[in-house]
Amino acid sequence: MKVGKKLAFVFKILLVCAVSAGLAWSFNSLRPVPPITMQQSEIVEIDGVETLKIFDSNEAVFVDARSDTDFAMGHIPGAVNVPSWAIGIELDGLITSIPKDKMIVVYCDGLSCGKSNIVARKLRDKGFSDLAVYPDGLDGWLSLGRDLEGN
Amino acid sequence: MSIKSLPRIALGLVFIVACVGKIADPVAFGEIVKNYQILPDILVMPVAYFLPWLEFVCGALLVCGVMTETATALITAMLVLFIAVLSANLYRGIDVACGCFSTDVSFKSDMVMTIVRDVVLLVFAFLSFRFRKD
Repeated sequence: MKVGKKLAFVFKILLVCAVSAGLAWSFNSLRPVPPITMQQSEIVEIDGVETLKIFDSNEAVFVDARSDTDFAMGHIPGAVNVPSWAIGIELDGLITSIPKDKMIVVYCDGLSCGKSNIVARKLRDKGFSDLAVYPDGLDGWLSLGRDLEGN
Repeated sequence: MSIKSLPRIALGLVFIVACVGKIADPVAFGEIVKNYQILPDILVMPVAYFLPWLEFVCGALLVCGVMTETATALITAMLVLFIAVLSANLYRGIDVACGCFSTDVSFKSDMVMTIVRDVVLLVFAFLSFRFRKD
Protein backbone atom coordinates (compact mmCIF):
# COMPACT_ATOMS: atom_id res chain seq x y z
CA MET A 1 0.00 0.00 0.00
CA LYS A 2 1.47 3.36 -0.98
CA VAL A 3 1.68 6.23 1.51
CA GLY A 4 -1.14 8.11 -0.19
CA LYS A 5 -3.39 5.05 -0.11
CA LYS A 6 -2.48 4.37 3.51
CA LEU A 7 -3.38 7.92 4.46
CA ALA A 8 -6.66 7.68 2.58
CA PHE A 9 -7.42 4.42 4.38
CA VAL A 10 -6.68 5.93 7.82
CA PHE A 11 -8.75 8.98 6.89
CA LYS A 12 -11.71 6.77 5.92
CA ILE A 13 -11.44 4.80 9.19
CA LEU A 14 -11.43 8.05 11.16
CA LEU A 15 -14.34 9.35 9.10
CA VAL A 16 -16.47 6.27 9.83
CA CYS A 17 -15.59 6.51 13.55
CA ALA A 18 -16.41 10.22 13.60
CA VAL A 19 -19.76 9.66 11.84
CA SER A 20 -20.60 6.88 14.34
CA ALA A 21 -19.65 9.07 17.30
CA GLY A 22 -21.70 11.93 15.87
CA LEU A 23 -24.74 9.70 15.37
CA ALA A 24 -24.36 8.24 18.86
CA TRP A 25 -24.11 11.68 20.41
CA SER A 26 -27.00 13.22 18.49
CA PHE A 27 -29.30 10.20 18.87
CA ASN A 28 -28.73 9.98 22.60
CA SER A 29 -29.05 13.70 23.20
CA LEU A 30 -32.25 13.88 21.12
CA ARG A 31 -33.99 11.06 22.98
CA PRO A 32 -37.34 12.21 24.42
CA VAL A 33 -36.36 10.63 27.75
CA PRO A 34 -32.60 10.63 28.14
CA PRO A 35 -31.35 7.30 29.45
CA ILE A 36 -30.36 7.30 33.06
CA THR A 37 -26.64 7.32 33.60
CA MET A 38 -24.67 4.38 34.91
CA GLN A 39 -24.19 6.21 38.21
CA GLN A 40 -27.92 6.70 38.73
CA SER A 41 -28.71 3.13 37.83
CA GLU A 42 -26.10 1.73 40.14
CA ILE A 43 -27.13 -0.26 43.19
CA VAL A 44 -25.48 0.29 46.57
CA GLU A 45 -22.47 -1.90 47.25
CA ILE A 46 -21.65 -3.07 50.76
CA ASP A 47 -18.40 -4.41 52.16
CA GLY A 48 -17.73 -7.54 54.20
CA VAL A 49 -18.04 -5.89 57.63
CA GLU A 50 -21.40 -4.38 56.80
CA THR A 51 -22.61 -7.62 55.23
CA LEU A 52 -21.73 -9.56 58.37
CA LYS A 53 -23.51 -6.99 60.53
CA ILE A 54 -26.62 -7.23 58.37
CA PHE A 55 -26.46 -11.02 58.28
CA ASP A 56 -25.98 -11.40 62.03
CA SER A 57 -28.83 -9.04 62.84
CA ASN A 58 -31.08 -10.94 60.43
CA GLU A 59 -32.03 -7.66 58.79
CA ALA A 60 -31.89 -8.78 55.19
CA VAL A 61 -32.73 -11.54 52.76
CA PHE A 62 -29.64 -12.78 50.91
CA VAL A 63 -30.13 -13.53 47.23
CA ASP A 64 -27.69 -15.82 45.40
CA ALA A 65 -27.39 -14.80 41.74
CA ARG A 66 -25.53 -17.94 40.60
CA SER A 67 -26.97 -20.97 38.84
CA ASP A 68 -29.14 -23.49 40.72
CA THR A 69 -26.32 -26.08 40.51
CA ASP A 70 -23.78 -23.72 42.07
CA PHE A 71 -26.36 -22.74 44.67
CA ALA A 72 -26.99 -26.37 45.62
CA MET A 73 -23.26 -26.88 46.14
CA GLY A 74 -23.05 -24.15 48.74
CA HIS A 75 -24.48 -20.75 49.57
CA ILE A 76 -24.75 -18.20 52.35
CA PRO A 77 -27.07 -19.75 55.00
CA GLY A 78 -30.70 -18.86 54.41
CA ALA A 79 -30.07 -17.36 50.96
CA VAL A 80 -32.68 -17.51 48.20
CA ASN A 81 -31.54 -18.54 44.71
CA VAL A 82 -32.41 -16.22 41.83
CA PRO A 83 -30.13 -17.19 38.90
CA SER A 84 -29.11 -14.26 36.72
CA TRP A 85 -30.72 -15.82 33.62
CA ALA A 86 -34.18 -16.16 35.20
CA ILE A 87 -36.97 -14.18 33.53
CA GLY A 88 -40.76 -14.08 33.21
CA ILE A 89 -42.80 -16.66 35.11
CA GLU A 90 -39.65 -18.36 36.36
CA LEU A 91 -38.37 -15.13 37.86
CA ASP A 92 -41.79 -14.35 39.37
CA GLY A 93 -41.89 -17.82 40.94
CA LEU A 94 -38.43 -17.44 42.42
CA ILE A 95 -39.10 -14.07 44.03
CA THR A 96 -42.47 -14.87 45.60
CA SER A 97 -40.79 -15.92 48.84
CA ILE A 98 -38.80 -12.68 49.11
CA PRO A 99 -40.54 -10.05 51.28
CA LYS A 100 -40.65 -6.63 49.61
CA ASP A 101 -40.34 -4.70 52.87
CA LYS A 102 -37.02 -6.28 53.81
CA MET A 103 -33.55 -5.35 52.69
CA ILE A 104 -32.15 -7.54 49.90
CA VAL A 105 -28.44 -8.32 49.59
CA VAL A 106 -27.45 -9.86 46.26
CA TYR A 107 -24.19 -11.74 45.82
CA CYS A 108 -22.48 -14.21 43.47
CA ASP A 109 -19.03 -15.80 43.32
CA GLY A 110 -16.93 -12.75 44.01
CA LEU A 111 -15.34 -9.72 42.43
CA SER A 112 -14.96 -11.39 39.04
CA CYS A 113 -18.69 -12.20 38.84
CA GLY A 114 -21.12 -9.77 37.26
CA LYS A 115 -24.33 -11.62 38.03
CA SER A 116 -25.22 -9.77 41.26
CA ASN A 117 -25.80 -6.49 39.45
CA ILE A 118 -27.95 -8.19 36.82
CA VAL A 119 -30.19 -9.78 39.46
CA ALA A 120 -30.27 -6.62 41.58
CA ARG A 121 -31.47 -4.68 38.56
CA LYS A 122 -34.18 -7.25 37.82
CA LEU A 123 -35.33 -7.14 41.44
CA ARG A 124 -35.45 -3.35 41.32
CA ASP A 125 -37.62 -3.58 38.20
CA LYS A 126 -39.89 -5.97 40.12
CA GLY A 127 -40.49 -3.35 42.81
CA PHE A 128 -37.85 -4.17 45.42
CA SER A 129 -36.45 -0.88 46.63
CA ASP A 130 -34.06 -1.66 49.50
CA LEU A 131 -31.34 -3.36 47.47
CA ALA A 132 -27.63 -3.83 47.98
CA VAL A 133 -24.94 -5.83 46.26
CA TYR A 134 -22.19 -7.63 48.16
CA PRO A 135 -19.47 -7.54 45.47
CA ASP A 136 -16.97 -9.71 47.40
CA GLY A 137 -19.54 -12.51 47.16
CA LEU A 138 -18.80 -16.04 48.27
CA ASP A 139 -15.03 -15.52 48.02
CA GLY A 140 -15.31 -12.66 50.50
CA TRP A 141 -17.74 -14.59 52.70
CA LEU A 142 -15.35 -17.55 52.99
CA SER A 143 -12.36 -15.28 53.58
CA LEU A 144 -14.27 -13.83 56.56
CA GLY A 145 -14.27 -17.35 58.00
CA ARG A 146 -18.00 -17.89 57.58
CA ASP A 147 -19.58 -21.22 56.69
CA LEU A 148 -21.77 -22.14 53.75
CA GLU A 149 -25.01 -24.04 53.67
CA GLY A 150 -25.55 -26.80 51.09
CA ASN A 151 -23.82 -29.91 49.78
CA MET B 1 -26.51 -8.42 -7.37
CA SER B 2 -23.87 -11.08 -7.83
CA ILE B 3 -23.29 -14.00 -5.50
CA LYS B 4 -20.01 -12.40 -4.51
CA SER B 5 -21.93 -9.66 -2.71
CA LEU B 6 -23.73 -12.14 -0.45
CA PRO B 7 -21.10 -12.46 2.35
CA ARG B 8 -20.77 -8.67 2.45
CA ILE B 9 -24.51 -8.05 2.65
CA ALA B 10 -25.05 -10.89 5.14
CA LEU B 11 -22.28 -9.57 7.38
CA GLY B 12 -23.69 -6.05 7.16
CA LEU B 13 -27.19 -7.27 8.06
CA VAL B 14 -25.85 -9.27 11.03
CA PHE B 15 -24.18 -6.14 12.40
CA ILE B 16 -27.26 -3.99 11.84
CA VAL B 17 -29.48 -6.53 13.63
CA ALA B 18 -26.92 -6.85 16.43
CA CYS B 19 -26.83 -3.13 17.20
CA VAL B 20 -30.57 -2.39 17.45
CA GLY B 21 -31.11 -3.54 21.06
CA LYS B 22 -27.92 -1.86 22.21
CA ILE B 23 -28.85 1.46 20.59
CA ALA B 24 -32.29 1.27 22.20
CA ASP B 25 -30.95 0.61 25.70
CA PRO B 26 -27.37 1.88 26.09
CA VAL B 27 -27.54 1.72 29.89
CA ALA B 28 -28.32 -2.01 29.86
CA PHE B 29 -25.55 -2.52 27.31
CA GLY B 30 -23.26 -0.44 29.54
CA GLU B 31 -23.94 -2.82 32.39
CA ILE B 32 -22.96 -5.75 30.18
CA VAL B 33 -19.78 -3.94 29.08
CA LYS B 34 -19.03 -3.28 32.75
CA ASN B 35 -19.54 -6.94 33.62
CA TYR B 36 -16.83 -7.90 31.16
CA GLN B 37 -14.43 -6.14 33.56
CA ILE B 38 -12.07 -5.10 30.78
CA LEU B 39 -12.57 -1.34 30.70
CA PRO B 40 -12.12 1.21 33.47
CA ASP B 41 -15.49 2.54 34.72
CA ILE B 42 -14.99 5.94 33.11
CA LEU B 43 -14.87 4.39 29.62
CA VAL B 44 -17.81 2.00 30.05
CA MET B 45 -20.63 4.36 29.09
CA PRO B 46 -18.80 6.14 26.21
CA VAL B 47 -18.09 2.72 24.70
CA ALA B 48 -21.68 1.58 25.32
CA TYR B 49 -22.94 4.63 23.42
CA PHE B 50 -20.38 4.54 20.62
CA LEU B 51 -19.86 0.85 19.78
CA PRO B 52 -23.45 0.04 18.66
CA TRP B 53 -23.41 3.04 16.31
CA LEU B 54 -20.07 1.98 14.87
CA GLU B 55 -21.61 -1.44 14.26
CA PHE B 56 -24.59 0.22 12.60
CA VAL B 57 -22.55 2.50 10.33
CA CYS B 58 -20.19 -0.32 9.27
CA GLY B 59 -23.15 -2.68 8.72
CA ALA B 60 -24.98 -0.08 6.64
CA LEU B 61 -21.86 0.64 4.55
CA LEU B 62 -21.45 -3.07 3.83
CA VAL B 63 -25.10 -3.53 2.87
CA CYS B 64 -24.99 -0.48 0.60
CA GLY B 65 -21.63 -1.48 -0.85
CA VAL B 66 -20.05 1.87 -0.02
CA MET B 67 -16.51 2.09 1.41
CA THR B 68 -16.59 -1.66 1.86
CA GLU B 69 -12.84 -1.94 2.47
CA THR B 70 -13.00 0.50 5.38
CA ALA B 71 -16.15 -1.05 6.83
CA THR B 72 -14.71 -4.57 6.53
CA ALA B 73 -11.47 -3.47 8.23
CA LEU B 74 -13.40 -1.97 11.14
CA ILE B 75 -15.71 -4.97 11.43
CA THR B 76 -12.71 -7.33 11.37
CA ALA B 77 -11.09 -5.27 14.13
CA MET B 78 -14.31 -5.43 16.17
CA LEU B 79 -14.65 -9.19 15.68
CA VAL B 80 -11.02 -9.78 16.68
CA LEU B 81 -11.61 -7.60 19.75
CA PHE B 82 -14.81 -9.49 20.67
CA ILE B 83 -13.06 -12.85 20.27
CA ALA B 84 -10.14 -11.65 22.42
CA VAL B 85 -12.42 -10.30 25.16
CA LEU B 86 -14.63 -13.40 25.18
CA SER B 87 -11.59 -15.70 25.25
CA ALA B 88 -10.05 -13.70 28.10
CA ASN B 89 -13.24 -14.02 30.13
CA LEU B 90 -13.58 -17.70 29.28
CA TYR B 91 -10.01 -18.15 30.55
CA ARG B 92 -10.70 -16.13 33.69
CA GLY B 93 -13.91 -18.07 34.30
CA ILE B 94 -16.09 -14.96 34.18
CA ASP B 95 -19.50 -16.00 32.93
CA VAL B 96 -21.46 -12.93 31.86
CA ALA B 97 -24.17 -12.24 29.31
CA CYS B 98 -22.60 -11.84 25.87
CA GLY B 99 -24.45 -8.66 24.90
CA CYS B 100 -23.79 -9.58 21.28
CA PHE B 101 -27.27 -9.34 19.80
CA SER B 102 -29.27 -7.87 22.64
CA THR B 103 -28.96 -6.40 26.07
CA ASP B 104 -31.16 -9.16 27.46
CA VAL B 105 -29.33 -11.19 30.07
CA SER B 106 -32.10 -13.75 30.19
CA PHE B 107 -30.30 -16.71 28.74
CA LYS B 108 -27.29 -18.60 29.97
CA SER B 109 -24.35 -17.48 27.91
CA ASP B 110 -22.40 -20.01 25.94
CA MET B 111 -19.09 -18.30 25.35
CA VAL B 112 -17.57 -21.08 23.25
CA MET B 113 -20.48 -20.94 20.78
CA THR B 114 -20.25 -17.15 20.72
CA ILE B 115 -16.54 -17.34 19.90
CA VAL B 116 -17.26 -19.89 17.13
CA ARG B 117 -19.96 -17.57 15.74
CA ASP B 118 -17.53 -14.64 15.74
CA VAL B 119 -14.95 -16.76 13.91
CA VAL B 120 -17.58 -17.63 11.26
CA LEU B 121 -18.31 -13.90 10.93
CA LEU B 122 -14.57 -13.32 10.50
CA VAL B 123 -14.66 -15.71 7.54
CA PHE B 124 -17.53 -13.65 6.12
CA ALA B 125 -15.41 -10.53 6.68
CA PHE B 126 -12.55 -12.17 4.79
CA LEU B 127 -14.87 -13.07 1.88
CA SER B 128 -16.30 -9.58 1.94
CA PHE B 129 -12.75 -8.16 1.76
CA ARG B 130 -11.79 -10.59 -1.00
CA PHE B 131 -14.70 -9.41 -3.17
CA ARG B 132 -14.59 -5.76 -2.05
CA LYS B 133 -15.68 -2.93 -4.27
CA ASP B 134 -13.33 -0.12 -3.16
